[in-house]
Amino acid sequence: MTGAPISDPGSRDSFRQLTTSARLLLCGGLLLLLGGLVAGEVFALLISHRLNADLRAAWLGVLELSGRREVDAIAARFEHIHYLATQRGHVMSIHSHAGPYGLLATALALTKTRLGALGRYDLPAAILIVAGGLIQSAGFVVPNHETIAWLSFSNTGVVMLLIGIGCYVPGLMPAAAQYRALPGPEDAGGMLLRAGATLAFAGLLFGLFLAWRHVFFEEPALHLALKELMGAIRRGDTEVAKAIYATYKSTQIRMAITAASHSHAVAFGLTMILAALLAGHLRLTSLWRNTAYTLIAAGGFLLPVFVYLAPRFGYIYALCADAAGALVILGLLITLIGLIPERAQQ
Amino acid sequence: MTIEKGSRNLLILALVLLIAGFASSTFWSASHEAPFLAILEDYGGAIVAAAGNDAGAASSLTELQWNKTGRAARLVEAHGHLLFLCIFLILFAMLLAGQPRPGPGSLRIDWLAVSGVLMYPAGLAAQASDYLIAGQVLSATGALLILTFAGTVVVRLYHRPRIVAQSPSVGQST
Repeated sequence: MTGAPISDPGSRDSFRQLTTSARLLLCGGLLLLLGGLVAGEVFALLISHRLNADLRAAWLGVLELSGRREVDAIAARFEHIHYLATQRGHVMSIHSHAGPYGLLATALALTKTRLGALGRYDLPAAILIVAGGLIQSAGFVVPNHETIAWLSFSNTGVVMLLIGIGCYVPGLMPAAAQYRALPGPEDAGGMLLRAGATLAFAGLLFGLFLAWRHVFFEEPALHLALKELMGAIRRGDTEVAKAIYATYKSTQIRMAITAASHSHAVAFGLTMILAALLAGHLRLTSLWRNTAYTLIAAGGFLLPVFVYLAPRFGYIYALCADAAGALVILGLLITLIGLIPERAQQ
Repeated sequence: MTIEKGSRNLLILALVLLIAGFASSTFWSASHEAPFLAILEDYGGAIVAAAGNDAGAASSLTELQWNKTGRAARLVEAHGHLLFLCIFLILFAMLLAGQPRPGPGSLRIDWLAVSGVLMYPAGLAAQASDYLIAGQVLSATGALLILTFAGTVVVRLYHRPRIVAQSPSVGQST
């Protein structure tokens, strides 16, 4: 891609005209976003199925032991369940934190492209935000959730983020803030802007429906199943306990995955808006820019749909969701390359 | 009103909310994380009690872990939603930059957005603090306000594209 002429004349110097802090936030934000998406793909493809199967086996082992009234062995088995659940939480936390921090950094960079430098702490604030997001996300890699080292490392990242964001507030105060025009409907970003806003809106609407279903139907059903599970264990009826556990767990998993389709729709809608607002700063030909935008839009719309279908119709839809996530990653990679200055590309 | 002032206020409020949300989440994770990590131990205790045929202990431990799980889930949701809704507010503030808002005396969609973003996580936090019905009403109202705001912006993007194209150019004073 670097060998071909990739820049449109209109955007040749646009990125270079940005302040260092805006460039740092843009590139750092996109890298964090990509890191979060890659962590999500790794989790979905390599980790979640194995860890969930291990957890299921451990729980079924507990139910077997409860049928034989082996109380000490049950307690020991729970330590293993705790370990597995913590491992799963770590990888999920990298995905769920790095992505939003990337979105935040990129969104703040775009406010700067329209407002200019925000106060005297402009560059330190950008460094704190990108480094803070990176440190907090990396904090989840530390194996034991409860160690002082993890808490210190992770909380240092949050404090850095807090200070960095705090530096922006005074910079927004002056009444003379000036805005640049948004991409019009004739620009490449116009379609993506509207599509992103629509997807975010649809994701929010779906979230409201999910919250209603969650509070009034699924949570009471789970509560009832838990009580029935304890009753079956007390009676020593292992087979019934296993059957209830299977229903309980599958309901929990379906709820979690359906919630993921809501959160991914909103996150990808916002990603599409961000990518559209970046249109004027990309050093890409129309072909490459449209390709990147098509990939992001296609992946953004398809992933939540496939995620929703996966627990209902099987693994093929989960694989389709992973493929859709890969499309977004590819689109964002092209976008990131479009932000690299001309000299570096040659 | 100056059109830029509206968007700038949205940006400032989003950042302030973001800081408040981060600060409270950090405080919560530092002070309450260990007890919530003990939820699994309560599960274990309940199963051990049930296996030992201690109906009373099994029942009370099941209720205890259920309540803890519910509270933890609501707080995590409040944290996650606040972060995403603030990013949402920042982006939509930029989409609205340079857009004419309704005049004085009419309902300003900016207020819908800010109220919604404030109310939704607050409602979830209230549910976690055992104010269940009040929290649900607050969350539902917040969600409806956010949806009204987002829907208005989406409709505007589709049906009034020329207004987007006519927003102020670089350097134009407000």
